[in-house]
Amino acid sequence: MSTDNRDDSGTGRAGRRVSRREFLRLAGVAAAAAGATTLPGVRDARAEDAPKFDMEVDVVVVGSGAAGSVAAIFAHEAGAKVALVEKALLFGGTTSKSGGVYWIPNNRFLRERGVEGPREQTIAKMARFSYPTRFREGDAPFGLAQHEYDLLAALYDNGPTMVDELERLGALVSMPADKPFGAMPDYFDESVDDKEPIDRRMWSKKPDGSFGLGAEMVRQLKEAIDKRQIPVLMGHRVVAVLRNSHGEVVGVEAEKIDKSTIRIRASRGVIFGSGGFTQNPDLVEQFQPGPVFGGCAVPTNEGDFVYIAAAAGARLGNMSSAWRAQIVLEQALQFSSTPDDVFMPPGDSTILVNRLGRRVVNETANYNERTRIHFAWDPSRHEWINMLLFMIYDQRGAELYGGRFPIPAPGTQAPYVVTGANANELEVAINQRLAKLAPKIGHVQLEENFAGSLSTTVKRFNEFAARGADVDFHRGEKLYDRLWHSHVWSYPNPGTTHALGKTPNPTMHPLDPASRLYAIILASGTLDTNGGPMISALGEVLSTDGKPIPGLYGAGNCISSPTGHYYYGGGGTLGPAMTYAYLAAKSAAAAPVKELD
Amino acid sequence: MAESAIDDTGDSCSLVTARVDGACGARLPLVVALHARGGDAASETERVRLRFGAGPDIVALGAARPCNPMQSNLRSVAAYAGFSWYLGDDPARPEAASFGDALAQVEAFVRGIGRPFVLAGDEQGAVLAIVLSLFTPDGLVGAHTVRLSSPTIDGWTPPFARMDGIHIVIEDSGDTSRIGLELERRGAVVDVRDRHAGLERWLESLPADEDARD
Repeated sequence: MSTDNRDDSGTGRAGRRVSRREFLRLAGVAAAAAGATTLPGVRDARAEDAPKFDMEVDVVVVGSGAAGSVAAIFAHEAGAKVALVEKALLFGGTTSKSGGVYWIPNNRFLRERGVEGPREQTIAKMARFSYPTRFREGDAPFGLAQHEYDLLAALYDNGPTMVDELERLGALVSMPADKPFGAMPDYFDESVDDKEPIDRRMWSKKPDGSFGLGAEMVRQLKEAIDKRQIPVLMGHRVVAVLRNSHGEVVGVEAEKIDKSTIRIRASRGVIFGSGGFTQNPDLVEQFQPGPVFGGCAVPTNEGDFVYIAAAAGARLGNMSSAWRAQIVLEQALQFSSTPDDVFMPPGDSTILVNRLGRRVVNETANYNERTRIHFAWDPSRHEWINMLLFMIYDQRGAELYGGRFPIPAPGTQAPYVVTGANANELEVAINQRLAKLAPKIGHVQLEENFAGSLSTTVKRFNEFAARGADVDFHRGEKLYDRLWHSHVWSYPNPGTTHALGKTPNPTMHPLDPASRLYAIILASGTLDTNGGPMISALGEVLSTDGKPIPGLYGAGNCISSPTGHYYYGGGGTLGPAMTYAYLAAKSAAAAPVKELD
Repeated sequence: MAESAIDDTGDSCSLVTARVDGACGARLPLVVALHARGGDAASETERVRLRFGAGPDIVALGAARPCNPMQSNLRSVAAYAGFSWYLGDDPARPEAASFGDALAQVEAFVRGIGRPFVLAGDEQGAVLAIVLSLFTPDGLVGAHTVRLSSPTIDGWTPPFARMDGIHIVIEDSGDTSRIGLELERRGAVVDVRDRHAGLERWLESLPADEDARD
């Protein structure tokens, strides 16, 4: 740590304020750097004034998360000389802060137990949920375009091989992710008949035999990369791919944090695994279907590949989609990358209401599906009527379920919690909070007589709870709702005076409107976006004419998700990311050498 | 790129807090506790109480990042329990963005205290405490750190401000000579110890709310 010797505070005592922008710049966030106005794109590899290459390899991999790391390892194993380029100074991308679960259909643990469904049946299920308007019962491709079907089939066919190969190579040891809570259901609607869930989740296994999270997964993959002596260039932002006169991608140009640039020759291909565009407000504004206030993606996920691929003539897809998650509004406004998301609102009497005081969604639905309700447009009011949702809970909920995010743990307080002794006080307190936030979110206030509407909503919800049937939103009807609710997010704290009681539907208990009431303001966020250039089943980036762009490959959240908007289950992001990275790596390593001219 | 979209400084704090009132109230500086990786606000108040005694008011801040993003933290397995302030395995090498976020949040909190305070940090919390001390926020009269590592953030140059009158106790740490010299060069009073002892007296020696002392 070097220091600035000047006392430029002017007071000799009081120091400067902390600048998040400064730290973001140091983290490699392009938007935080002065003069970062040039968008990434494409350059002519043979430009007359072009400098020489600083490094020459067969395959350049961009990004060090699961997709990039897996691609680098498999390209190396296929005999290619590989370099990995990472924009940030911390290896691992968003994977490093994730749960590190990967969804792999027909994986060997399932096969050993004899519980996986047949190939076409499983692919059909994937097709049904990924393409609900085009899915047709019957034979493959189930109403999908052939390349869409091929991508899903590639996931089914290659996912298990990919994880087994990683293990054989000593790069990543896997285990089933059904500990410590037992088998948990996918996010498919397959649980209505209460069958035992097929848990297709896997995660990394630590050397001591326990499960590892995203950081452990990254640790193992990084170790495998280092063992193979694959060069890793940290703090290098790829700002362009280099093309020859045939339009083939033959290298990259990367910019360091000090703005100097290097050029890397990639004779066979460039694979992007560089993350989505959650942290690029312009792209979010242009392409997302409604207000998105932030997300868990690392701050360097600024959608660089969207610009590069578009400039290279790629066909973009899924740009309005994301792996969605609700986030606490006030955290989103204060953190460059939201530290946590609301997996499931904790508590059996917790409800989500909009500014009209009305429930709008099954609170126990999975986060990806539930969050989409924020994008409801009210043409009469001319507003995103669910832009903000208010997570309402009572004193019993605070005490029984405190400590399950976002309800603060017993003995603690959270500034993002708004409270009132009754519904009327809560309405006043929420409006005061909204007024305080107005400079950042615009003018939003609760509808007049919110408290009265809330009381009506609570009365109706309590009737549902007593009956055990949520006629409006079907809360708790699915196995997913019940198991994730009771096994993970809403197990009660011991030692309170509150009896759990025996309600017919364990996800619902009457909310006590006479108790102190609490509200937390939730907004739409992402784990990351999942739109970008479309790929083939070989991981090749496709041009607008549907043909591969020679030398350009992609996997992970930087591409158009082959699974569309649908999140198949825990690890529905990482499993496909790793599988398509595996395919891209094999393709790139086997591609012909491309000349510079 | 939407450069203007970056909120440069945190103008309010969204961190979880746990408070414990002490016997001496405002006659002693408020102790602002910053837990280690894997800790949490509620349990940190107890740890700090053991170190500083029953006298001071204590407020512990809770990091927002769960060590296990898959599970509700109170039910996480021991290896993944609690919260972390910033990304990175080595507390001495914070990942810049998450570190900046946490630092801005803690700064936003202390700006609203309105009375003399000390920062008391453990491991990741110690790094945060010592770096925030370099920014000399109003009201800071001292810092106590346990398991401190000299932090390095590539390319970062902390601001230089005089720290005259600020007392820093570095306890149970490895080689902190670099950060120690840095603090002394700014005028801070630095005391390096192997184990905690006499912290109650140390706290009493620091400036507190004058009205309360009268």
